[in-house]
Formats: sequence, structure tokens, C-alpha cells
Amino acid sequence: MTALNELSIAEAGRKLRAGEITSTALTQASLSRIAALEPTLDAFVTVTRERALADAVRADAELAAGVDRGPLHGIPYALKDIYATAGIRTTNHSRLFADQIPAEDCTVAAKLATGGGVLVGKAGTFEFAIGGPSFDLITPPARNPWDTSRSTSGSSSGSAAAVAAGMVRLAMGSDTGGSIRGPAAHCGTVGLKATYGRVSRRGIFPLSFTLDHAGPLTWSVEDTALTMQVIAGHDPLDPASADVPVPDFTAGIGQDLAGLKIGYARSFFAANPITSAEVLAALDKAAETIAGLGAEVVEVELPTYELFEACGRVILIGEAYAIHEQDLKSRPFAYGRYAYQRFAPGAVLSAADMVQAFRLRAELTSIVNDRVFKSCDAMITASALTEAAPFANFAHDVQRWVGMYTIPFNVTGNPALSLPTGFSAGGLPLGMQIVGKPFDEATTLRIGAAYEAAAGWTSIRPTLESAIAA
Amino acid sequence: MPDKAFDQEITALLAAAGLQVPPDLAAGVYSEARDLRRITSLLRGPRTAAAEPSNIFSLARYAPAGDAK
Repeated sequence: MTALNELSIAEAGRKLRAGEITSTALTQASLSRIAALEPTLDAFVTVTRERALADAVRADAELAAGVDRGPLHGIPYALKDIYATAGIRTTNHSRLFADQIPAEDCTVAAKLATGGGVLVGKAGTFEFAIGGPSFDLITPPARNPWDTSRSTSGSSSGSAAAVAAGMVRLAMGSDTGGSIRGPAAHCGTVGLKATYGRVSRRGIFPLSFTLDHAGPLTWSVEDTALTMQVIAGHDPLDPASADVPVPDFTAGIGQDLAGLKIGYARSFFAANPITSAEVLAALDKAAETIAGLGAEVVEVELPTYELFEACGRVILIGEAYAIHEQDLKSRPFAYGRYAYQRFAPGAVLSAADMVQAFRLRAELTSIVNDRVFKSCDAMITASALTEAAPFANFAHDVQRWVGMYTIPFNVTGNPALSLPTGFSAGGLPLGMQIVGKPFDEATTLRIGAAYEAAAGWTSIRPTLESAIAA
Repeated sequence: MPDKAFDQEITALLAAAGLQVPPDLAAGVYSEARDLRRITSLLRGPRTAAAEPSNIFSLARYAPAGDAK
């Protein structure tokens, strides 16, 4: 029999409804695994044990009474600690908010609660979703379950560690330049940055207003699709929220890929000397697998990564600086080293720089959607160019951003799904992105699920028994 | 190799913004600032004066009832 912590959301949901398991048992298993692994992984800032157990009892009682709140009913999950949660400390992983207890849930937390989910805790992040991995914050950075001497990447670091380690099946993250997809790639999980405007960001502490996305990290593509069904939808309280219909995100799960034309942006990342041979080989193999599932795969060209990076980074730092301007002046010592060193340079950007960045953004968005998505249903490319980095590689001062090819789709707003493509020789996860047309997450999930089933990487999980035994 | 004149310009911009950079954080701030300034040159491709930015605001939500969307 499959252990409770190994059940997917879909499997757990079926067993809950058949009366074979209870939410209370699922939640106790989740809390036990968190208690056993947290000293090793540092995935959480706050664990909400009592509330979780009470919510699980309520979820069981409702199911017994015939009240079914949907696919996440009774499922334990975690929220990145920038998601405001009523009555629960929300720190942004920063000393500046170490004691903040919001009065209201953010929209996504409210939707998950209404959907019957069981919140087990607030997952660690890089400070304000950018400054990390840092050891000078309120709790240490999350460690990679595949090799605890390595970073998870960030900034949804605790979310990725918690999912990869089987503490939860679902953890919500946020993605401004790749903060869902990078940790997903480096921790061997699935992570979706949906289309800009698809998931509300209201109540999630902003990093960059026009680049921020909220989204899930899970073990499987189907679980991501089930989560999207609960969290997607128009929110008039988020100015960027799109008033568009919410589709059935699971509609394509289980289908083959016949009839789809998929672009492979190979030269886009292969030309970068940082790209490891293992990442390139894994992507080439994934493209072959996808073609074998019935899709037509064609190589496509994108503008150079450096243009996307310049555009995205100037917007990100410019907007972040505006958010933090007063605190950077009045209490610089409250920030961790890396966050301060990322934010303060925003002061050297000019108004013209910002306007030119937004003009370039419009041009790049047009090129991607007109050049690639006029003829292709989706596109694949690398998520990260290398395996996860050892903590020892991070210098005293903040370094240039390298090795992640995710920010282009924050710039354009297209949906992008990261999922595992295998392992390096050292046994560390590698990943790819499946990028879709705006608001066509369903096709990216269809492709992801078909590839996932064919490739079989999801069945390989990190070995953490020694940590549990200790 | 840091350019001294360029660093003086960064110092002036940080001061004008009202930031007093803690000395032990200065190296990282200047390194990041230099790199940010470097990449701003990539933003300035050929484009017409009429090319509007992507975040141009919209009044659609304030349209008379029935016309919104």
C-alpha cells in the first residue's frame, strides 16, 4: 500500500471520497514528516499544527456529511511566507515583517480555504522573494532534499523543498523572474507560472507589480492542474487580474500529443556556455520523447536571452525599489545582506530606463507570440542551465543572475510549466519549461502530463530516510 | 575593473536618492549597480517615437455599464 505521504493529490482525493483514508490521517502524516525533516531541510518559517489538525477534522466531517469542496478538499498544503494569512504570522522571510500577523487572507489563501485545503505551514523563501539564499535572516535557507549541501534555488525555496521531500503534495510559490520554475527544476518538482493575470496576487507581498505571478509547485502535472482549478479566476481586487473564463485545466490530461506542433527553442539556451551538457542532452531527449507521443517538434528562434534579461531585470529592480524606497532609507540594517544589495541599486535607474524597458517588453512579447505562437501550439526550452548550486558557491556579496532561463516568460506573461527531465551524473534533478499561448495553460499541462507519463521521472524521489532516522 | 568616474556617478545617484549605504554592503551594491547600468544600453533598440510601452493604462473598466471588458 502506498504511504500517505506518497499519494498524489488526485490519488488522495479518490481515497478520501471512497472513505479509505481521512484528511486527519493525511494531515498527521504530513505534520510527522515535517517534524522529522525540518531540522535537516529548513523548509518552513511557521508550522500551523493545531489549525491544520482542526481543519482536517472539519474536512473529514464535511465529506462524511456529503459536502465536497472540490479537488483540494482535505489535502494538506503550504503557502510561501509572502502570502498573507489571517491570524498567522506572515514574515516575507524578513526581519522587517518578523512579527506581522495579517488581518485578512490573500485571495489565493482564501480560495484554498474555501476549497477545503488544510494549511500546514508557511514555507521559507528568499527575503522578499529575492534576497537569498541567506543565512542572516529570521530562519536559515531551505536545503535541497536531493543534496542538503546545495540550494533549492529560489525564491520559492521552502515550497520546493517541502514538495520534493514529501512533506506536502502542494505548496504555493510566486514567480517574478523564475521563482517557481527554478526551484521546481532544481528540486525535481512540477511548477507552473500561469499566464499573467490568471491567478490573483492580492495579498501576496509584491516584488515587482508587472512581473509577479502566483502559482503551485506539486509532484505531478495532474496535481498542478487540480490546484489551478481552485486558485484561478478573476479578482477585481488585483488590478492585473484578467476577466477571462476559467477552463477545465485537466481536460487534456491523459491525451497523447497528436496534432500539436511544438517549438523547441534549442539555440536559445544551448548557445550559452554555462549550459551543462547534461541539461542539453536531457532537453534533446525530451524533445524526442514529445515527438514520439505524436507531436510535430520544430526548432524555433527567439531574440537573445540578454534582451529579455535586461528588460525583465530593469523592470523588476525598478519596481522593487519603488516598493522598498522608504525602508531602504530609514532602516537599511533591517534587511539581509543580499536583499539590500539587490534593491538599493534601483536608485541608479532613470525614468527613461524604465520607459525603454517597457517599450522593449512590448516588442519582445509581440515577437514571441507572433513568431512562435502563430505557428506553434507550445514551446519547450530549458528551465535552469545547470544542476542546483552548492551553498559554498554563493559569495559574501550578491552576485550576477546566471543560469536560469525563466525571466523571458515573466516579461511576456506567457504561461510556463517547469517539470523534471532527468538527473545529472551526480543525481541532481534537471528540468525543462513548456511555454504556452496566453491563457492556454491547458495545452501546456496536456503536454506536460503526456511527457511526464512517458518519461517516468516522477517516480524517482530523494532518499531522506537517514535524516528521518536521525 | 570598476571605473572610478562611473562609481562616483553611482555614489551621487545613491546619495541623491537619500540612501546611506552601510559600508560593509557597499561592494555588492556598487557591483550590482554597475551591472544594472551596463544592461540599460540593451533597452534602447531602434524604435519610433510612437512606440508606446506595454504598461499603457486603460480606462476600459470605467466605461459605461454594458461597454466594459
